[in-house]
Amino acid sequence: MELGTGLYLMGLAIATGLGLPIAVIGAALGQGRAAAGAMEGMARQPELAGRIQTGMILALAFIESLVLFSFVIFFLLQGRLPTVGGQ
Amino acid sequence: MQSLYGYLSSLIAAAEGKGGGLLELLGIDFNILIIQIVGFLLLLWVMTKFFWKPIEAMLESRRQDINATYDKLEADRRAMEQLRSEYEARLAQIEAEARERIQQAVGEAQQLRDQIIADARRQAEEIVARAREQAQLEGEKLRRELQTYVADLTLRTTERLLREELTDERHRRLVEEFIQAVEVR
Amino acid sequence: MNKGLELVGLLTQTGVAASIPPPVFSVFSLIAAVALLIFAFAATHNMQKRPGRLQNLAEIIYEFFDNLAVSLVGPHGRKYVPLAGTIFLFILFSNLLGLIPPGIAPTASLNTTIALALIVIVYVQYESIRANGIVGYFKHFARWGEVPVFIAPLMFIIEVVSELAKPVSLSIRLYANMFGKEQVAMALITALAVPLFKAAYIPLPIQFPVLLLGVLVAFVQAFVFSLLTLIYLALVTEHAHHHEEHAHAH
Repeated sequence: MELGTGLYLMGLAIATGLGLPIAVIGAALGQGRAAAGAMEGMARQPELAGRIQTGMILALAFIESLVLFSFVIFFLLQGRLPTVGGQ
Repeated sequence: MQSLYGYLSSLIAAAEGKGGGLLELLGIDFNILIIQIVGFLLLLWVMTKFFWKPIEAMLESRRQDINATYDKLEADRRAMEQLRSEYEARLAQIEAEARERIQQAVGEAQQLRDQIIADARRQAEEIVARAREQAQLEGEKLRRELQTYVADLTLRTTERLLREELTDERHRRLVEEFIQAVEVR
Repeated sequence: MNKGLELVGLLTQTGVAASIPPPVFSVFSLIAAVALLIFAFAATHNMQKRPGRLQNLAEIIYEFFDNLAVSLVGPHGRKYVPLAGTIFLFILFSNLLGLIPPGIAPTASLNTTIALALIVIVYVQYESIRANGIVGYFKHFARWGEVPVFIAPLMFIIEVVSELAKPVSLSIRLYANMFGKEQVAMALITALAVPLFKAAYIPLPIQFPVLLLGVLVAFVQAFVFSLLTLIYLALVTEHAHHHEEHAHAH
């Protein structure tokens, strides 16, 4: 195997392995903040709980969709990885 | 793992064979896409026609039903209220009438009483006056009778006396005495 | 290994989405649609003033979307109830179909989700043109009157890109949620459940918590899709109706 191909595959493997977790870390922090803010709002104004919940779900969905983009990319990259051992 | 990602791998192989393409890599097939779009539009049409519209109509009709019921309830309540107030007014009127009639009767009775009393008094006065008049008349009559009787008696006595011996002087004296006695009375 | 995988896969029927050819998803879309139609007819074929259970459920669904549409879009949002509600119910039935053993979630395929997203986005453009006029439609893109004139072309480009990103994010969000859930379940099966079964013949459903999560995801993603549909519609129609309201107020 050539060095260039080896480096490419190494980078690919690192990107495949680390891309999604990094996205998940960021999104988890973001979702945590969003949920905390929503809970605080609901505790402060229980009469607006329904609207706050709708907004919270929307915000969580937007944040989540960023992770899911990287999830799709993860699958695309994973498909590029060659199988080992001639399988 | 092979069977798990077999399809993706074969896609990748196919994509590499055709020169690569993100759409094929993701498994996007335009024919299937169009079938899905048409299918969903059909579903949307059928659901709108047979699900959403009937439910909307049902909810609307129920809303109107409820409105009508409440309106009727309100109208009934109002009619009852009106009836009650009417009855109350009539009752009050009847009471007032009765009271007025009683008052009137009492007034009449009082008037009657006054009249009766007045009549009685007048009659009594009349009786008293008549009695007094009569008494006066009787008295006068009696006095006249008495005068006549006295005069008669005097005359008779005089005559008798005259028939006996009667002097002039004595006669005169008798008459004067008599007259004096009568005047004293 | 393949034999065990098939066995557990048959028991759970998750995680096989990646290896299934696209037409199969269309068949399962049809199944989901037919199930939805059966529910719809059962709920509405004999409607009465005093609702039965199914009719009551249908009315609750209707009123939920009615309230949602009115609170998001305004009084004229009532006409979007069928679209948002049908999207919700179809996606929900599709997602739940993936959790019932012989079924596959049609929404775990990009073809299905892109079809839905395209319908929504094209309808949003149509409604925007209808509400604002063709000139107002482009002015809306440029945020005309809201930003300085020299920024308007830049805004136009940004808005067009964000408009194009809408169907992409809509479709990929739904697809990746369903597909990802199935992949995680499959990974648990292949990495833990199958070896355990082969080693000790203990059929332990290790992926079960993921399926429980999948029920929640099924509802949330269906709701998010229809909620975003309503919000996109609200964004393009609020301007015109806002002006109308102002005109009425004056």
